[in-house]
Amino acid sequence: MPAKTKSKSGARVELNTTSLTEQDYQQIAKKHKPKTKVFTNCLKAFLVGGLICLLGQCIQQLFMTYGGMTSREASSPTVAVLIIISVILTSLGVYDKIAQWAGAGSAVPVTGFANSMCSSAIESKAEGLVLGVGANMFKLAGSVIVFGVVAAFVVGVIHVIFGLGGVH
Amino acid sequence: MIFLWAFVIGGLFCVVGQIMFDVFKMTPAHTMSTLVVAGAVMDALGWYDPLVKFAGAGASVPITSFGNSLVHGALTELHRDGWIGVITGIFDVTSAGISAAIIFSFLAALVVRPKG
Repeated sequence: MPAKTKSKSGARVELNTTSLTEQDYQQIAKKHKPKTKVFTNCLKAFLVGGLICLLGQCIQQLFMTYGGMTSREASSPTVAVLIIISVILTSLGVYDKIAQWAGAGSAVPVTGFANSMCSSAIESKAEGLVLGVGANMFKLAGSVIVFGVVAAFVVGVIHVIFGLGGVH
Repeated sequence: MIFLWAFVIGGLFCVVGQIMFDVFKMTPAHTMSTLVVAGAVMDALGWYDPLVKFAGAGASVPITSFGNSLVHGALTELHRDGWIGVITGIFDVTSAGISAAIIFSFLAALVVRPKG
């Protein structure tokens, strides 16, 4: 049985080098098509994600220069400003257009977190303020918060058990 | 120089997310949850703080920094208040992000008319 399949695949390899049947062509095309798509998608994600972080760095620099904050103090207001920008862009329907082009580039930064909350809040407005907006706001963001908190708790418990005392 | 590294490192985090989308066929929720846990683990190992120092917003803007801040809050209060700090401190640092997102999303939902 193994010898038979071996000869069969061997024949196919020979076929590949001489002439391409439609099947072979499609197989090769299928093999190559997603690869290039992944590459361009990654490039777009890199550009947009990088630009969002660059914008964040500029805002942080403003807080440090004009607010007299250290870089650690400035990171919370920076995140808050980015979230406000993201909510405004989501409300105007601009963020979703960016997201279509950028994929993870606009989803991974904290602006994507705010976008997911804001868009599910707006979408479910018709169901009412409590059952719609209130209940659905954390539809996507909820899993992020749950797993983040559980992970942080596990790390904290490990520190307690091994007596690390929480010092870094 | 920190502006360049913010761009590069922030972009690389997004590339990792895009690869999880495209190659591993993960949903956005799975990807974000994984990245948050990854950020928490990186902070537990002590890798995230040097990265923030090196790349600034490139490390503090991606969602991984959310996991990092949750761990930071828990460990800081653990150090200060003892074991109960693990529970009370988790949202200490991330309050700004979560509160801002809740408040402004709610306000937007009041004002904006949904499409369709």
